Amino acid sequence: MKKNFILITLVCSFSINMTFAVSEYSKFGGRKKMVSVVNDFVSYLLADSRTKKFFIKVPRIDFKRRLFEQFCVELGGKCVYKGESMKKSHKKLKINERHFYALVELLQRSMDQNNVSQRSQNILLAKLAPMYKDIVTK
Amino acid sequence: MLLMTKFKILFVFITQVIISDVYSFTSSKLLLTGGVSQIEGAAGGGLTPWALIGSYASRDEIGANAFSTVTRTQNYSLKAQGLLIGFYNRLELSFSNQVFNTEKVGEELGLGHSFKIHQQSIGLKLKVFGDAVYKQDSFLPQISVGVLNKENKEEVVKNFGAEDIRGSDYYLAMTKILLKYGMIYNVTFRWTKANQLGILGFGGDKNSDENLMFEGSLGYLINRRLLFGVEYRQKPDNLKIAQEDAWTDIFLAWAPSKNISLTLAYVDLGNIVTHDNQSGVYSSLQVGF
Repeated sequence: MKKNFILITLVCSFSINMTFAVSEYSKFGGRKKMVSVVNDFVSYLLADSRTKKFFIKVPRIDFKRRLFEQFCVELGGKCVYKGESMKKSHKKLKINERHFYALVELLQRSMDQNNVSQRSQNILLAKLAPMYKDIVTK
Repeated sequence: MLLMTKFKILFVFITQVIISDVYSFTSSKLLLTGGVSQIEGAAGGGLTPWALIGSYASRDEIGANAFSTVTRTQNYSLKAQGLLIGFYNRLELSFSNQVFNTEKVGEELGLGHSFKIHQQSIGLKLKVFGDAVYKQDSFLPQISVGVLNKENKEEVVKNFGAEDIRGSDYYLAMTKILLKYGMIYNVTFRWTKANQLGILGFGGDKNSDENLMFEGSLGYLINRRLLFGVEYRQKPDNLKIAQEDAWTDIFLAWAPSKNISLTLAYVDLGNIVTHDNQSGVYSSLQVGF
């Protein structure tokens, strides 16, 4: 009886963990949603006078791919990030706090545009926020 | 009068600094991350100063807010107005007035119907550790220390047993926004002698020592523009004439943009002088850049 109970508990927690790990990405909206968010996000970054200058020379398709991979990984999706570290890729760019906040707002706007829930938005932002220390160098 | 002139001069000066530097956009921080203006003028919740530095100014910027608050309970009303300037998301300077209207109770106390007690507060807050927003990989809060220098304009409060009409509150506040749960928490420790914020003077015939008071707030971000929360503020009890209770509230803060926010709360202020169970609506408007 006790053995069965332990077994059931283990199976349940294993399933819950597996479900949890995959579901933040699917709760966000999965692949289709993420592609749309990234597309909008990059358009906003290139249109906004606060952030434009940092992204204008960046090869667009690769940049979108890396963003997609990174956001997917952060939400526990089955992706592999093939890009450089945050520190390396933002070195010497003289990004200051204003630019970082502007980027966060544009990401929020692109998630709003795609009807991503507040909860999922906050979960992604919570994962990205600590990258501040590697990105803001000025 | 002189203090108001100082407000105006400082406000104009800051505006000039901002306008003259094209790159000094002052609205960089994210919505609601500058807090709202609490009753004594500092940035925080409604009742309590938080560790957040007021305004939307980020590390390279200067920003400002002005606020007006009205609270009405069964027997009294309390109004406050003020101005706050945030420097580089590091230092906060605030000026505010509090006006407490005794209404009918004024007559009962022999002061006259609707006798008003005026107080001015000047506050300074410094962020000393951490960041409430960036450090999402840690539970550690942003920590700030601050002082609120208050001056009550009414000598008559000494008739109620108050020792002094001037006093300073010193506080340590710890605030964190936990994005993945959509929550904000704040804990403030305050060393104070103020009776009912200072409205009934400082220190008293029951107790004239500094008191260490605890204040706490817990909030839930319904969405980016809307914060729902509860607050608790412990109060000292220095006067024989008037038992003093803790203050609590339940609030909703709405920031449709960075330039304006509205806070509505239901406050429970307990006993104020001779009347128990004072409660009512608190409403506060904040504008800024």
